[in-house]
Amino acid sequence: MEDINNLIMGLGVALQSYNIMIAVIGLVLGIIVGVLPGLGGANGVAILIPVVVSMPATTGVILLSSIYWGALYGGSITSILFNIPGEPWSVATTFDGYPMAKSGRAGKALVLAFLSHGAGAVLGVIMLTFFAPLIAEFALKFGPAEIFAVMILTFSAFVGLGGKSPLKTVASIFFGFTLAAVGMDIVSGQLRMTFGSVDLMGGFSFIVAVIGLFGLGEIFLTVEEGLKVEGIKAKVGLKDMREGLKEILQNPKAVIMGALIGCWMGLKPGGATPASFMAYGFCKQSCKNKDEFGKGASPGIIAPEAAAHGAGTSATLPMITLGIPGSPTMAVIMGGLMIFGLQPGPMLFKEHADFVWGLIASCWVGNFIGLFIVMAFAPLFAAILKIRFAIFMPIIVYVCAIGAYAVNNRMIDVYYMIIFGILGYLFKKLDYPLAPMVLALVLGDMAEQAMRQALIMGQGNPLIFFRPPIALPIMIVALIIFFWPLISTVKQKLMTKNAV
Amino acid sequence: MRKADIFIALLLMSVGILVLVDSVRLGFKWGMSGPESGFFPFYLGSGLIICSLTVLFNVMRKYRKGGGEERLMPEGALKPILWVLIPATVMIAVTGLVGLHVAAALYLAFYMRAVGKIGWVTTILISLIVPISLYIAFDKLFLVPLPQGLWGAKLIPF
Amino acid sequence: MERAFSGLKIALGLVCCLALFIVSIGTAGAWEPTKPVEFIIPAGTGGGADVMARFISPIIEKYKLSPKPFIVINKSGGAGAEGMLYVKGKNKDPHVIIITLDNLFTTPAATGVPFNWKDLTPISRLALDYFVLWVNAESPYKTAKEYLDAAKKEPGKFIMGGTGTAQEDQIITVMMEQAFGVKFSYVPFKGGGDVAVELVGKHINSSVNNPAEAVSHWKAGRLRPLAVIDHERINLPDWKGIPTMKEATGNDLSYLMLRGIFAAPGITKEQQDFYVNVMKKVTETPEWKKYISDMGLKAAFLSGPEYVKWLEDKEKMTKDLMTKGGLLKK
Repeated sequence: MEDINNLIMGLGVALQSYNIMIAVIGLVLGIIVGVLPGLGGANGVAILIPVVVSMPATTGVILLSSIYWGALYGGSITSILFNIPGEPWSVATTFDGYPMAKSGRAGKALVLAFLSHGAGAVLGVIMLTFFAPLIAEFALKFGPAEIFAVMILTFSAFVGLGGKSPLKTVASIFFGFTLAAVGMDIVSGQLRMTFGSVDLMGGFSFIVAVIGLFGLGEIFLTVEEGLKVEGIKAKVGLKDMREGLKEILQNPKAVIMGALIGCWMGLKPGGATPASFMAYGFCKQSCKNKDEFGKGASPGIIAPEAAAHGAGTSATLPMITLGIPGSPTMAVIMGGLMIFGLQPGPMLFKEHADFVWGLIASCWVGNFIGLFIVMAFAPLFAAILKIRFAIFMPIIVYVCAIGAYAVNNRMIDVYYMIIFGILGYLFKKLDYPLAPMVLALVLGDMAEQAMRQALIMGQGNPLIFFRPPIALPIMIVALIIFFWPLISTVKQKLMTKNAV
Repeated sequence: MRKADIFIALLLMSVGILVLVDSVRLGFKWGMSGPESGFFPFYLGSGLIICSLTVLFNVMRKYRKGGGEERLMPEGALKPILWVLIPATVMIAVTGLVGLHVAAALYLAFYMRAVGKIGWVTTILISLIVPISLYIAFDKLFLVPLPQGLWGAKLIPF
Repeated sequence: MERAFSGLKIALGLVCCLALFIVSIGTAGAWEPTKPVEFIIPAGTGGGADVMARFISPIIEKYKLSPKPFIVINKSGGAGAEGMLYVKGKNKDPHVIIITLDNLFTTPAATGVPFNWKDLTPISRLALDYFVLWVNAESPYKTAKEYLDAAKKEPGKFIMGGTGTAQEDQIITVMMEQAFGVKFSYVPFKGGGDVAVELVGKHINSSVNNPAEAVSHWKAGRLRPLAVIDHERINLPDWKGIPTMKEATGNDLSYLMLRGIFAAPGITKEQQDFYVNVMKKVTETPEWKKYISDMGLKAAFLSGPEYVKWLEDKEKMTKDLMTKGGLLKK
């Protein structure tokens, strides 16, 4: 009951007209940085920190967190329209979002994505409001062994996502892992596969690879079909909104699954990306119309988007309660809090309750206003596709180059992007699937690190990955899902035998 | 199709060999407390080599049998692809001299005019407005300095 | 096209005039930056160095200490080697500075990257960071002695978490192992904040977190500080109660981490003076003083030849410790 009172008090602060105006400014700015690949919420937050210093603490944090919410909404726009994910957690959205847009339903795809974000946000914010301390305790139970189990679970969700040739699927997974391993090995402190080159020391950035493989690769595939002078027909209207809403209501499973996975995974730093992949994989496996996935299926947009936003919302929880930032943006926001003399961590709830509740209330307000803003602009975004290809294509290449550069401020990344673009085109033509490769690239590092940390703790004994109470059930579920195709054939055989 | 298949397989194989060499240097055994830092790369490298060898073998067998030579890309598709790829690469190469925004302005103008056959007015307007607004957004507002090249600082007066 | 070209020429001419004008102003008085300064962080977002740089940059803006902004850029590849080599490569460029921590010494020594701090122009030391030995508040060990005695009985059983490999946390771990004849299992994590949370979650037995990384968990009653790894106690109200290593165990151990600023090699004396001055003014602001005490840092501004001398000593000491611990590149 006390929570509700606190929330109402916080809402009173967040709903002051000045604070609402600030939230709208932050959201619009956030959407812009989210849309531009290479720029993330972190950039948006960083430029505003000097401005924020002169504001009251609660207003300042409303501004910073609004940028964060805006960036979460904005990240999926480019995934759907151009096959270029603005943020790592929007990669899974490209699998179905882009095909749907390409078939002329860009408006519907956007509406679906935004509504799923809204749904993920609602669940995340409810958790944040009522169960924050409880969930923080749960998050603490996740050590390296548990993280590794979660990684295995994510991979197992993707078993069914291979291409036509199993051999080439395996090859592209290996290739993804290999790229992930380049650079500093944090566990041993050795440089791997850098061959003395400074450029390789930083490794291959996931965003650069994705911009090349997905974005440029797709452009090559498009021009191959003959230079399209006319843009994609993008009808947008109220009909899309209505249909989007209807599809969301028709797919409650995808929404709930996505939001739950997201909220759960978001508790650990960097959790949003695996969450969106995992939600996509599970949703595909559990849906009846598996074959439609990858061709523009609605659940294929709903699940990863709900997961991404759910994770984004629950990522604020470890920052407030434990003082660990869940993402680079959160890290910069944390720096902002310190300027106000607020030390994020367990004491924040006790010492600055008014501030924390103002922040939580602004999560409610910011997400709802954000949803209205992006929904209102959805037709405008979709209309971008009407621009003639010869104008819009070079601009995309230009923005991709900026994005690739801005990730690490390195020119070499722009060259990598071009190379990845050619590779993406060839891979697609030759049936090397890209999705498992990208998954391996983004999670390879995390998985290896967690595994080796856990093994040092277990003094080399792999049984640590099966320790109760958390790692064991996750691992069992992962293994069952991994071997499900095998299990089900065996089951079927037994059934037929019995029948005979 | 066949050449491209062989090319990618050979590429993956050479990556595999590089990885293998480096993982031997790093140590690839299961050490006292779990795997050494070359452990995973070693198996990744071996896996890549095995996969690409199998792919190569399959390709050879398929085409020896005289399986119809499918084309990698449809007739006449290479030209438009190169029309995208080469100007983009040139833009990036020129960035080292004049900076990304100026190079992009030239690239936009070239592509729209020479390939897209778009009217002069539109071409010039777009190839000025887009880089200038992105310059303001990144370099001025978000303080993300983009490469200026050798002469870039002198080419942009503000 | 013709017209556009002549327009470009005029523009170029104007730019050249402007450039000359700026240069002439620049030489008249003391040097000041003529374009935004790149403020490199050789570490990822969210770590101690990152937070500090992102804290300094708005202070510079707020107090108008520089006519151009300081833009924070992370270059964390290869345990910071990427950022250091980047600044090293910016010979005579006065618009690049770097914030450093002890990876200035440890990363080149551990990886063999061709870099030494002498490749850069030293600006100033801003502060020193303490290290404290922490255990979970629910663990039975009330003093450093109890904990180390317990660790001595079961070599390798106790897990020490730390940031990175062959970096300061592991050096301190090795230092303690040698001083007390114990053996920890050292587990590296990505950042100090992660290490503190692992300790709260009881996945590791102890850590040598900096005060700032663990303070909020301590105040929330989840962690317990056992000893400060320095000759003196931390002279801040909250921290005064923690004994030094010597008081707790009789063995005098000390390790402090550098939080300093360097600039690109080959810059002029005027340029160097500008940055020294800016940093000095930053450390005099009330915000900085509050930051220092919130973060449990030791205020220790130092510049000029004393700073160089201190760096030399520190490098020697770090190398010695790493050699003894077998952490140098083989």
